[in-house]
Amino acid sequence: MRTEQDTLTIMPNRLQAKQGEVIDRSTTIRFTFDGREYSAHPGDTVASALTAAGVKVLSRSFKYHRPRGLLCCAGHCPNCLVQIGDEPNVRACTRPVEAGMEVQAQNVWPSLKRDLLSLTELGSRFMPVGFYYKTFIRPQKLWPLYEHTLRHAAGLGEAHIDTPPGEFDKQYLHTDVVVAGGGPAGISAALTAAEAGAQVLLFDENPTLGGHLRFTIPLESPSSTEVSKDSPELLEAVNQQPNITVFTDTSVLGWYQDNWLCAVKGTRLLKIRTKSMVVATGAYEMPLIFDNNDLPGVMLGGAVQRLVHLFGVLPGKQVVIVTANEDGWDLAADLHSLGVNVAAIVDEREPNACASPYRDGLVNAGVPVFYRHIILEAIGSSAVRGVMIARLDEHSKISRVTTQSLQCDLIVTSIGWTPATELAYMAGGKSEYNSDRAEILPVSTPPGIYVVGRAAGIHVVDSQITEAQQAGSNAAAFAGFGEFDEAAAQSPGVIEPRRTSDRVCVPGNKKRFVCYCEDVTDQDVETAIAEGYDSIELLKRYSTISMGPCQGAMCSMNTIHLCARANGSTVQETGTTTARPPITPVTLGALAGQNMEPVQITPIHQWHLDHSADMMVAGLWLRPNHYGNPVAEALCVRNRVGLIDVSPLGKLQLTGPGVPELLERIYINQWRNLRAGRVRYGVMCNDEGVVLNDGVCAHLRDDTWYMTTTSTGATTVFEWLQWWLQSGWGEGVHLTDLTDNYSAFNVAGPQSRAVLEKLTDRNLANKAFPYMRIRSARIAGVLCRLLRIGFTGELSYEVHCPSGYAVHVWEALMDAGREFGIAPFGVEAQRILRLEKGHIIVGQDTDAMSDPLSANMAWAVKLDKPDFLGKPSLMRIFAEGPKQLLVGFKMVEPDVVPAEGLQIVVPEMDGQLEIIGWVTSSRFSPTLEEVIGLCWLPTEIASQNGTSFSIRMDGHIAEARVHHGAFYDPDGERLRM
Amino acid sequence: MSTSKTPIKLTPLHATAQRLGATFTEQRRWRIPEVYTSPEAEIAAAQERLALADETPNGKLLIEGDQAESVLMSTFDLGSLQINAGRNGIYRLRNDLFFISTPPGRETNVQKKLTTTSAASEQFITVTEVTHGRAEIRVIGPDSQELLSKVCGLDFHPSVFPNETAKQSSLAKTTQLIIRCDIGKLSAFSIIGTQSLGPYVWDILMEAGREFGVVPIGREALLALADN
Repeated sequence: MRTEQDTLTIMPNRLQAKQGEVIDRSTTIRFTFDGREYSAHPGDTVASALTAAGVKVLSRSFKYHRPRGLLCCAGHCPNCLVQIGDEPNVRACTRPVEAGMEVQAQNVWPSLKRDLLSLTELGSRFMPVGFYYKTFIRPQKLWPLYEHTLRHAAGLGEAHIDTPPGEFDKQYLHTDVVVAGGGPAGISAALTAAEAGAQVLLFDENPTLGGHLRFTIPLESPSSTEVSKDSPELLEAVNQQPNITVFTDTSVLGWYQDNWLCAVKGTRLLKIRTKSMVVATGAYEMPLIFDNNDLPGVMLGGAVQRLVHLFGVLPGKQVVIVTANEDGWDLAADLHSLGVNVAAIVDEREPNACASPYRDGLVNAGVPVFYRHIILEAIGSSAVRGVMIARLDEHSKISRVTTQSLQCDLIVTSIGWTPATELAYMAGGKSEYNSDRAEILPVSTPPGIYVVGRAAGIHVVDSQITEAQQAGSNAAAFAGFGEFDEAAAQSPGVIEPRRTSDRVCVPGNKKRFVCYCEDVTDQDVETAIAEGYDSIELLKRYSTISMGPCQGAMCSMNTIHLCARANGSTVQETGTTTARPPITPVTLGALAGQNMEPVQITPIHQWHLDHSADMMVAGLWLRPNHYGNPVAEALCVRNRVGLIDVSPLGKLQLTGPGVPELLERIYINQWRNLRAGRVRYGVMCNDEGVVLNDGVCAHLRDDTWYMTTTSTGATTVFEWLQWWLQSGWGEGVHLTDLTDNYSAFNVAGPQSRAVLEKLTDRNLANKAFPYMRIRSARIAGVLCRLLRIGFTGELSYEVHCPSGYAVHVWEALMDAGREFGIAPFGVEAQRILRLEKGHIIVGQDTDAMSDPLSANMAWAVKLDKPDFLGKPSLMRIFAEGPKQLLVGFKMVEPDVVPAEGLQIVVPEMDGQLEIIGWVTSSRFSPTLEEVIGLCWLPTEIASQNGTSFSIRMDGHIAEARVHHGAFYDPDGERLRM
Repeated sequence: MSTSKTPIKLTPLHATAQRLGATFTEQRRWRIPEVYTSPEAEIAAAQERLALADETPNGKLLIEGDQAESVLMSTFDLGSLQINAGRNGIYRLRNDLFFISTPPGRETNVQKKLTTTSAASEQFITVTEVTHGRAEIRVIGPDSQELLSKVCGLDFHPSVFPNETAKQSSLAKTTQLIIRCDIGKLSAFSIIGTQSLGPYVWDILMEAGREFGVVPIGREALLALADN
């Protein structure tokens, strides 16, 4: 049994237990960091556990590989990014530690402690801001080497290619009011809106609601003592309010048109539609820019308070607090009350500017205070060992002669805040720089969008609650619940003291980082501006400031100040960069969500699988490619009988007296004269005369027609017809997609009639049921539509049966065909058979430029019709003559099968090969024992039967000859037998 | 002609139900899952959590035409319906398009009635039976709204999507007709779409519903739920 004393020994920075902490000290768990074992308590984050163990360096920086430690401890900065298992870029300060967790430092070589890649800093003068635009570009052939080296040296974690896909999903939410941020302001707004009757979704990125009240003491307002530290009254009120749904550990990523929000909770992406929104997202604490400001041991005030109050961890023994506001003094009092050695308070203000109620107490307790002083440098190599400070003169300039060093192992800066207003900005809100407050504060928002709390620049808790209640009331009213609070609209707002210093940067002679994510220094900013990137948006793009994992939370405000100074302009004139989603990084897995790739299967799918079918993807459909031997399947059709599942064929029903007129316009051939019971092949073109689809269409009876389309073109044709129907063609025609209502099987081969005759009373004799006719017939007791058509070139019947009966009918056909040697055949055999007949496949043999005159379908084009889609284009092509033709060919060598897509070439004068055409289909024909195909050729070559041409194969040229007409049964006798 | 076996209709989810261990029964020549585990367990799952049922055999008719409303009103004494609203299994999808859901086998009679009425009144409508072409998956249980919110962007709250409402929407990247058809106080939705996509939609719903403890239920549990 491990005692508390043991635990304290292995976690030397752990404070004694106290109220409000979130860890369970009764249990100790183990995890590893860079191969070394550490202890933690449930509730710890990875970072809090490591800090408790005395670990200061958690990562190495992006470019220079400088050691980095905890900075914000709020999930905003990049300093604690680690790899956990195969998950890269995990923020150690927010990820709860788990027993057995394996945590690794990332972007280091060979180790975090001794990272040789840190030598890159020696060459930093060769890698100034934007170096990738200026250097490593010559000689060009070495770029792959440069790129490999640079990518290896820089960057974040590694996404392992063999990592199994995680489980992600999405959820759509609809609500009246969204409150983004669960601090005192957000909670108050949510409660007020919910009490008005609105449905409220309350989001917070932390594990529990409460915001800064969880780790700070609201000291400033006497009345705020009514709000206890854990704000139990507020939290209990939320729990009791049925109209509020709380999402903790959830980051709102962005606002989109019409109040559509996107948020992420773990592996789930939330898509939210709301009527109104309250932005209560708090504020980012601003880092100060000074020499070595990235040294582990330099932290923000809020980070220290989180560690101390939530996790009982003190990240240093001797603390120097650098401040310019009362927050720093509050922090000093807080730490001092816990027995922490506050080595000094360095306040850049005059003594009389400090209004902290704790000042006298701290001074009397002997805490050294340096008014009108500023930090110059953090001293140390891999962790803070001390701090250099200097006095400010009467002009607020640094007096270097007053420089002195103080010993400490923790420097805490508390110099101001940047309101987190990204959501309001995305929604169309406006902000302005308030020079009195040295903050950019929201000044207006669109209707239905409200900003409260620290996001609105309000820090006093009582004021936060009052303003938020008004905003909550108005957000509910905007959503239709209650009345608008007119008093709130006319309120002059809360008068807040200045909390933020506009100094932002202390000059020096070492590296001072503005952007921790991309290792951009203040000198880099000056260089970029000197090079002409002097607008804030250009500066962002050139320097990549605010484009890293922090997305500007740590660097945006400081960059604006630096840009303004370098340009000699004001912060207001400089402006801000555009806030875009996502506000915080999100995994691609969360964006992708649950794997949803629709797959269509026919009712016979299981039968195909049970009979060893090799399935292929055709559009969304899964179809049998073959059942083991496609050549044998093709020969079975030629010699006996085969059965193929053609259920994916598009099947559309058209009813109404206007159908013939519609068909005349949609198809290039004639339809008015098609009598009931007959079937005709038709070709559709688009407005440009390009072949769109083909298939047969049957006139069932009176005003009812039955159209089939290609398997993958059913939806396109349905939408195409709907488009023209809604444009006024075929007035009164009703269109219904029956593709799935009927399953379809083609019984093909010389014995197909004999097979069907076993299953039906219908007279199938050639005279009673000739080629290109449709009949109703009971097949195996099921009423079916029977079409006598043939894509394969053999006597064949297409059986269309209601899909529920599909298995019954299919099995009946197989049973009936057994005595005739029936076999199922797949798409591959069908492609061989149709090629032997010279039938084209739209989309394979044609493309987005193919017209029917060129595609060997001139016989179908009826230019004497009054009008049809594509007619003007086809008339022009007819007049000019097609430049290319789709034509059959035979290979000269019998065993050479050119791949589909190969180029057809002719030698030019200079010996180069000119491309004059391409192969669209090719197969070995088992019936003809020749290699045959279809290809596009120039008209002058294609029009001469027997003309030879060259196909560029892999490494050689193969000869082929033009072939006119069908390769097999050119007169179609077998179809009509 | 050889006399064949009596034709039996299989739903597009038949193979899925077989894999899930269903025993089968027949209803109006449709072979449908009777029980997967036990009726008691399936009823409890539907009442307390979430269940999926294959209700493809329900009759389905599409009625299209400018006079469709008039024919329906005179045939079934039906009042006017707003778009998306439904009554007695008749739902208005567009101004000129209605969907009718009937108990299994009843669709033929309904189709005949409508055809007769339209012919007698010389009103041109098209009545198309699409029972075989559409899979129907019933999502039942207190968590049904939560499940659907993971795969569809519609708002399923009863105030927005009350009982006897039908909406066409994208669901898991497919087009589906979603009808709210509560069983008493138990939330329930019918997901009706292309039968060839039925197994895909079923699998998606099962996967998305795993966190709610979704189970498939058969006809016996469905009948018991309806009786209750």
